[in-house]
Amino acid sequence: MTTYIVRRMLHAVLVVLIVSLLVFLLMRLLPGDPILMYVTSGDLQSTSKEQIEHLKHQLGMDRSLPVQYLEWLKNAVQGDLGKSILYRYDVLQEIGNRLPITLYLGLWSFAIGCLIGPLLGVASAVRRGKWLDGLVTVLANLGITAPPFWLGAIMIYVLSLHLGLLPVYGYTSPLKDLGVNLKQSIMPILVLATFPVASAARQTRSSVIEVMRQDYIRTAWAKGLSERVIILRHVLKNALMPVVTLQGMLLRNIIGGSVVVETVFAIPGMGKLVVDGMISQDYPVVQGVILIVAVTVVISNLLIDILYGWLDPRIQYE
Amino acid sequence: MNEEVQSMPEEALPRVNEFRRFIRVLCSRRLVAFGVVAIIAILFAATFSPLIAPYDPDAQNLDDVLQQPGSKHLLGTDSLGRDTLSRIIFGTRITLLVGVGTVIIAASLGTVIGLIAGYFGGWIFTIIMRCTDGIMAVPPLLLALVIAALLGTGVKGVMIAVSFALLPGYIRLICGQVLSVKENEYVMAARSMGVSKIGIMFHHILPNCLSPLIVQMTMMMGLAILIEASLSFLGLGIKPPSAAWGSMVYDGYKYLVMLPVLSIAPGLAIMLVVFALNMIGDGLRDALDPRLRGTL
Repeated sequence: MTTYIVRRMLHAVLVVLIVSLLVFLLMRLLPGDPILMYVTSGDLQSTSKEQIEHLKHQLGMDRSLPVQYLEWLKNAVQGDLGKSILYRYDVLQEIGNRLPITLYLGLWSFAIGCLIGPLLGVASAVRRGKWLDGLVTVLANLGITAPPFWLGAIMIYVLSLHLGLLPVYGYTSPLKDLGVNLKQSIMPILVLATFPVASAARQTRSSVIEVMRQDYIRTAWAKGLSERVIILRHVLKNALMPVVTLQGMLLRNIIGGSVVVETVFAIPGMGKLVVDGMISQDYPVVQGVILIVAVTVVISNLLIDILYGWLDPRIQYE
Repeated sequence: MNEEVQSMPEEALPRVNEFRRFIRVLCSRRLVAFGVVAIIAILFAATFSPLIAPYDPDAQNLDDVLQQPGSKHLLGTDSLGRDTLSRIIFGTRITLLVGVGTVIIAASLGTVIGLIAGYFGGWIFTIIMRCTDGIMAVPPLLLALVIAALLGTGVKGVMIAVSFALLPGYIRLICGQVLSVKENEYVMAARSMGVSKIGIMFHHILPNCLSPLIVQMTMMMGLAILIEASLSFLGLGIKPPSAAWGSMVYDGYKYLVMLPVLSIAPGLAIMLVVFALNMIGDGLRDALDPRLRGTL
């Protein structure tokens, strides 16, 4: 197990390095120039060529790409992701302010997805062909197709504008005012949780049905075990394996979905930060956010891998 | 010799049945049949948009601004007096273009890279797989967002961006298929007969990867359409005045209180397309699965 964990950890570090290189190259090789954005955004219309060169030198952008990359990586490892070109704030500090907000909403949605999704899937598979199964199947298929920004619009229309139950948008820290926080968070969390719940339900349903066809389940029935024991002890243990693998993908997509949801509900999280950074082509901000997102995803995948290796010892020897 | 000729028609029969079975399985589930019908309708709408749409989708009519749905405008008009229904009908073109375009780009590139990684193995496999791991650590929407913004908004930029974000899925799928297929006897036989590596890859291995690839392509087309809609919604996808459904939902936001149909209708259109594609993907998976042959 230890060798397995060490191997997975080395792999995780390698993946993070590749992501950092990928993001760096993307930002530099594709068209678009943040200096120009900076210059044209202020009252610096009359900036001379020399001043631009000076600015580039100041930001270290006149050096060769490998040097810039290594410099950025060296600083990143030491906890310095640079400063925003446009607004001069410290990127890591800003991420530090915003990451908890995104994680707060994301982890709630993830937890809902992990609990409700498989539960619905199992219920639907066990009652295969009954009305509950039909309902869950249709809802799950709708859930994986509904665009999050549109779901948000519908919820705002029904729950806020029509019924006046919840505030339309905004975010308040739970430490400051828990009541307001909960009211404001319900809709974003529901929107973010829709896809995880639906896809986990679909995946669980089909893998439970697959497992129920196996010979050892027939044997269990033939032995005269009760349905409860068969489902809980024999079916679930085997059927939940593919669902566990799915969770890593779901967490990644929740973070991706926060880009849209935070824009819809005007929540000052990572997603909003990266959209604003992208619109103004603020390299250090976008690079920093993607790096931190990738690290978050890789760490969670690492935990899932370890959990998987523990659940299914065969994996360790692959 | 004579006997062989006589048995030919009987040999040919199962092939016909095989195709019939494929169609029957595909349409046996009501939801899948619904998906097929919906996609045919959408293809029809995209092909004949100018004939079906009651108005010009881009024609601004400042006398008819923000009309409620009625007999004149079935789904109302937006803040520039453009007919929502016509814009949704013309929007099928952009949606299908992006969906089909990204799937073609990502699937063909992904197939070639996956074949190479799976067939050659060794350090080539390691490098390609670690790179896909890297890309997959970033949420596809986020990655597509960054690339689309850098390439400049427009159909081409969005297609490249979404393709890149979805590429690793194809590489993994094909690579996994190749690994499971390449040890089969017929591949060994081809190799011992001196067939070139490229010949083996494309003539002997690739055909055996096609079924899962087709299923994946159908599902991914839905995902690509969802990502495009999200990008357009964020203002980093397809720019107005093009009738992209995502940006129509965004435009409707400001009038959610008085005219919710402006946001709701294009969103329903997105859902319909993606739902239909997912259902067809599900149906194809059942119809193409050799393990289920004979049981369905």
